[in-house]
Parts: sequence; C-alpha cells; structure tokens
Amino acid sequence: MKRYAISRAFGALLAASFAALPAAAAAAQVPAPAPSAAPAPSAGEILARLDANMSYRDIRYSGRMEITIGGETRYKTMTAVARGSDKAFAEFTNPEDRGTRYLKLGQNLWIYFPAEQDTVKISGYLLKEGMMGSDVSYEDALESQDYKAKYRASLGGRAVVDGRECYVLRLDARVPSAAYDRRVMWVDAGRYVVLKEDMYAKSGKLIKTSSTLEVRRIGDRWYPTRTEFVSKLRNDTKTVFDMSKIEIDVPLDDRQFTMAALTR
Amino acid sequence: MTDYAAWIGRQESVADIAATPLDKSLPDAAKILAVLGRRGIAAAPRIRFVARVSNYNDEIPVIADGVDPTADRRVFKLASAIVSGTWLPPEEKKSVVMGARLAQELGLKVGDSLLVIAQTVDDVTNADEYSVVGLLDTPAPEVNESGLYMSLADARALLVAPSAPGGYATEVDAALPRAATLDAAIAKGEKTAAALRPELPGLRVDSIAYLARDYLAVRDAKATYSFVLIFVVLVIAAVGIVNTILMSVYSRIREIGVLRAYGMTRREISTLFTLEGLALGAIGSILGVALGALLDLALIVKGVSLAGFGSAAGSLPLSGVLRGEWNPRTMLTGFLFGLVVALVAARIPARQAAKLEPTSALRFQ
Repeated sequence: MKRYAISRAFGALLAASFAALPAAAAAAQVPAPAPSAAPAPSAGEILARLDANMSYRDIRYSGRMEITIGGETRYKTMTAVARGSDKAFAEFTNPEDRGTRYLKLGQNLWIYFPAEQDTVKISGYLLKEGMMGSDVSYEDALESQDYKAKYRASLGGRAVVDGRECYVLRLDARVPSAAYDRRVMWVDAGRYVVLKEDMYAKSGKLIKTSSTLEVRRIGDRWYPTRTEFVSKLRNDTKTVFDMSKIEIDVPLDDRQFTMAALTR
Repeated sequence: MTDYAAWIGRQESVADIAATPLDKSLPDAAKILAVLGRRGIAAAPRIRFVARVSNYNDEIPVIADGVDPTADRRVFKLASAIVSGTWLPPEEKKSVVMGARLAQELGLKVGDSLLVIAQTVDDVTNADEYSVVGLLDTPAPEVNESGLYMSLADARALLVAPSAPGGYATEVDAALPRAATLDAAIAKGEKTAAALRPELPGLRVDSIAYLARDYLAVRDAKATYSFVLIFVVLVIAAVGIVNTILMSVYSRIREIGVLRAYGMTRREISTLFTLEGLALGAIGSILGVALGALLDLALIVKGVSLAGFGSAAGSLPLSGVLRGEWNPRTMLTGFLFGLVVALVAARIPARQAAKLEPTSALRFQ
C-alpha cells in the first residue's frame, strides 16, 4: 500500500483542512530522554526517518484553529479526512462557518458556502492567501510533503528544544517549486518529529516559524498534535492548530472526495 | 513627448491576463526591442505581476510592475507624476515607487521600508523589503491606489525569474511621437500595430485602440450625449438670437415705411436690415467666443479638481485635475453658428418688412 508523507504546512493547513501535522513537540506527557552519546545519523537518514514517521495513506481527525490577529482570537473547528496529499475534504463546524466545506483534488481546491449554496474554485495566486484568515496558506495544503524529493538536507549540529535533544537540520530546496527556499528544523532525536522550524524565502527573509506544542503517541508513531505557526510577514498574528480524534490508515470511502460530497 | 501606442505580449497570456501569468513570459524580449528600435519606436520591457505590500500591520494586494527605469520614461509618463521623492534611480537596488494613496493607506512616506510579497514564477512565496523612493499621483486612480514599480532587476530577483534572451519580461510597451489629437494617436497606433504583427509572429500586438476600448466606448457614448446637450443649447441660443433680431426688425417697421416713402427700394431695405443682423451676430459671436476662450483658458491653466466631487467622482475612472484643451474648430463653429443664425433671423423679417407698402408700414402697430 502506498504511503505519503505529511507536510507540516499541509497539516497545519489542514487545519484548515486536510492532512496531518508534521512537526512534533516536546510534549508534557513524554519524558525527555537522556542525551545520547551515540554518533548522529546522517542528515539523509534523519530526513528519511522524519518522512517515514509523518507518512500515512488515509487520515481522519478533528481540527481546531486558534487564529490570533492583533490580540483578538477567533476559533475555527472542523472535521477532516485526507488521502495522501492529493485528496482532502474538510467541513467546518464552528458556528460562524458551519457547513463550509473544502475539497482538494490534486492542484484544485473548491470551497462550498452553505448560506449561498455556492461553490468557489480557488486557483492561481489566491492559493497563496492565508486560509480562513490564518497564517497558513492554501498553498501549504497543496504541497507534497515528501521532504527528500524537494530538499537537500545537511546537519547543523545538535541543540536542546524544550528540554529535548534535537538534530538541527538545514533543508535547501532542490527544486524551484519547493514551498520554501530554506528550512531549518529542530528534529527530536528520539521521536523524529519536528519540534521547531524556521522557514525562509528565496530572498533569505524569514517568513514563517512553527513550534510544536504537543506530541502524542498514535499507534506505533509519535505525532505532533498541537502546533503554533507564526507569520513573520505580519505583526501580532499566530495560528495554533490542534488535532484530536486522529485515526491514521483507517479505510475511507472514495465518495468523500467528490463534488457530490462537497455540495450534498 | 510620446503617446502610448501598443502592447506586445504572448498570445496565451491574454486569456489569463487578470492572473498576470508569469509562466507566459516573452520568449525573446531583445528581439522585440530590436524590431521596434529599427522602426524608431520607443519601447520598454515590463514584468507585470500580482503582489501584496505590507507595513507588517496591514497588507494590500497590488498590481506591480518591474520596469526599466530609463526606457520606461520614454514610453510612460510616470516619472513626471512623482509628487514626492524621485523616480526609480537606475543604479539603486531594492527601491520602489508607489501610488501616493497606497502609501497613505499604509502610513508610509519616502524613505520608509515596504514589505513586498509575491509568488515566484514557480508559484512559491517570496518576500523582501524595499525602500520607498517616490510617490505617484496620476490621473489614473488605479495607479494611485494600487500601483507599485520596481526595477526589472529587483522584480526578476523577487520572482526568481529564469534567464531569457533580453532578460525575463512579460510584455513590451511601445510609444510613438505625440499626435495632435487623440484620434490621430489612435490611428497611428493601429497602423503601427498592424505593421508590427507580421514582424513579430506568434506574439500579440494590441494597439491603444484595443487596450483603451472601454474608455473609448465611454468617450463615444459621452460624445452622443454631449451632442444632444449641445444641440439643445444651440436651439436655445438660436431662439435668443432670432428673438433679438426679430424685435429689432419689427420695432422699426414704421421706420421701414418712412424709408420706403423716401424712395429706398425693397432690396436696399432688406440689405440694410440683413447687414445690421449680420453685424449684431458678428459682435455677439466674437464676444461669446472670447468669453468661452477665457473660461477655457482657466480650465487649461487651473483645471477642475475632481477631489471636490467626492464620491461622485469615485465611479469615474479618473482622478486628479480635469483640464480643458484648445479646440479652434469648436470655436470657429460657434462663431459661424452665431453669425448664420443672426443672418437668417434678420433676413426673413427684413424681406417681409420690405415687401410692405409704405402706408401699411407706417400704420404698423
């Protein structure tokens, strides 16, 4: 069965919608391991283990976004299902957006607005806008999360984040379509989840950061379930994305990823 | 001085022009510029793209242009619309010129930093800071409210544009020497575009007539409306002139009787009153044209600021100052109209009066 990597952004985004969250955090419920004296694996090996840890075929979860802009916080909740990075379906359940649905098929994204009973297709540069006013763009949702395919990794040493030993991994884009030109990740040395990440544009400008606030055990893997995204292009904004009721590799009905499901 | 004449770009980009498709750039801008150069046509390459500008608190979407600061001045008049600061210095990197109203919205002034966010050619977010070196106030509201200009080099770096012959560009804009009238400029643009098409196969060459078709349609509609309005004004003026002349003639019918009694012929009397009407018409027309010219002069020199129209001007694709122009043809038409109406108005009653018998004319009440 083919498996797919979950992207950090995608997941967040999912927040908005679809897939799962990538980075992991130093979780309160997991004790910090003692610093390892063993030699560090290579950057490629770390990346491979990261990709493997974040991969899935199908996912179902409930999501909650806390979008804070200028001291004011809005909440968005949703249920979402996703298959790989190509198919995703999310329905918002918070009172203001109840019934608003997102369907992503490949590089196309449709939004259904129940009040107007109208469907809007999002494409082009609009996919780069923040989703539901969050710090996560539609573009993030469309990115393949196969880090190895899009980035060349190099190891930048070790550091401690939230009391946990991490490998500092620098990813440089190997393809022009990579969402960020450079990413610096602090990867938990014991659980292979990203605890912290800085994302840079081609100009060298830091444009976004993320911090994993909580990591939980889901089946046989560690998984980041609460992540904070901070845009460096706007003052006083951040988005915290929470995932709960996560079910990975559960059988999903193909009919959930259709226009009929979107406008039912 | 030049008039904007034509836009040259990829055929495929037109269908998706609103999305400013960066993947549909010109295959060889250098070749286009060479073709235009051989014809002595001023031309400038541009990169048009969608961007967002920010002061880190507010973010506004804009249509941005990467321009050649030197060549662009030969085609567009933006450099002369700078109200604060300077036009893009060719040697200075990471600088932008923006609409004054846009800068006001963001609380920026010359010398401040502006964050520009755009999608690269590969649809990836890129962002960088630029120094604001100039503010624009043009008659085009869209430029004032959402215009952003940076050098081609800066735009290529921001968009991570691939290399291309003559450099990456999405369009080339061309200008011709200034024509005497808008109609002449349109005709020259059409002719030039038609001549360029065979020389630039696979490319689209749109003349100003096509690009400004919406404006020209509004202008034509306005011309029809203006014609009706002017016709009504002329009728009122004609009634006034006729009334004045008729009063002048009929009040002196008894004089006509006297003149007839003294032996003047009908032709002499008719000629006398016709000449009098003609003289009145000429004096009135000269005074009218002179008064109109003075008002026109005020409009040309000072103009009428559209800012005073408030929201009423908001629906118009105009801003700034509305100015008049010298139109000798209209002035001549007005003068001749006054003269002819006065002549006709005097001639008819004068001939009728001249036909009266002296005794009847003398008894005329």
